Amino acid sequence: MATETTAAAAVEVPAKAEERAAYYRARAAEAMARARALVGRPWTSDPGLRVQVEAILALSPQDRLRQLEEQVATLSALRPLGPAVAGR
Amino acid sequence: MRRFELRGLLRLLADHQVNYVVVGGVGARLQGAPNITDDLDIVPEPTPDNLARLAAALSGPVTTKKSVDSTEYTAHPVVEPAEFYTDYMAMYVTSAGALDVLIELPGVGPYDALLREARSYELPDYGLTIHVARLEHIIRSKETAGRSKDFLVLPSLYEAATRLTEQGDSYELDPAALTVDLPPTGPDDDIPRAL
Repeated sequence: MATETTAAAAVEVPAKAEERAAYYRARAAEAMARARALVGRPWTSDPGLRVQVEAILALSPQDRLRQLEEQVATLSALRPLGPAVAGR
Repeated sequence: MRRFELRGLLRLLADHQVNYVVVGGVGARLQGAPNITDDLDIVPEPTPDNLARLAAALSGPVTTKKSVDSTEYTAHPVVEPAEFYTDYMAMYVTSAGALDVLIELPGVGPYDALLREARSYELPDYGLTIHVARLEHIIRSKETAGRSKDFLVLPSLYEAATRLTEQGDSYELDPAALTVDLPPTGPDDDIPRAL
């Protein structure tokens, strides 16, 4: 697989729009196949995750966003700011 | 502490009348995924006028932009529309927080392809209705991007997508709700029109 990836990366991206679109579609299909193989199929539901998903979907959309903002704020407050991350 | 005010970011885009679809982690959270993200990812409508409005919205004295091939953000008070095409993802930090711009969602396509199947959500307190890329499209983009951090969130996204497929989202705006029956003006004009 590593050889295929290297070979694919070395191919020049086609200049024509239609050929370029086909090229990117093919690359996307290859990437999806790799991702699914890595994550593991057949995928099975995780009850712990399911509870979290249900809890979020029970909220209104703006409360889903507020909850996310609060979680980010909590994590940001815990994270030490160094030079590499201070700008972002 | 880094600011992340979604209301401010969404308001900024609305005030400049930017047309866009929300993708990435915020789009996934709106559809039930529990993963945490601290930036807003959008795919804008790629018309010159809309990109000019987006550039104007992002421009400001405190705006910074991520340098190519670096983790550094540098001052970038004036944003040009052409920038959105030069990088796979143009990444900015505004006064309200971080906003990433993608001209095309990897593995899915540009704005039109996303909007056709997008979910719409009303945010009454924000005074906004937003369009969010369908979770299946966000999943495809993560699978396509193929970065380690993308693979890590996939199980949560699959879980949320499964739940939505089974039971839907009661808060999703029904497309039929965006149509209105106008009173007929003549004998041949009795067809409900979409807004």
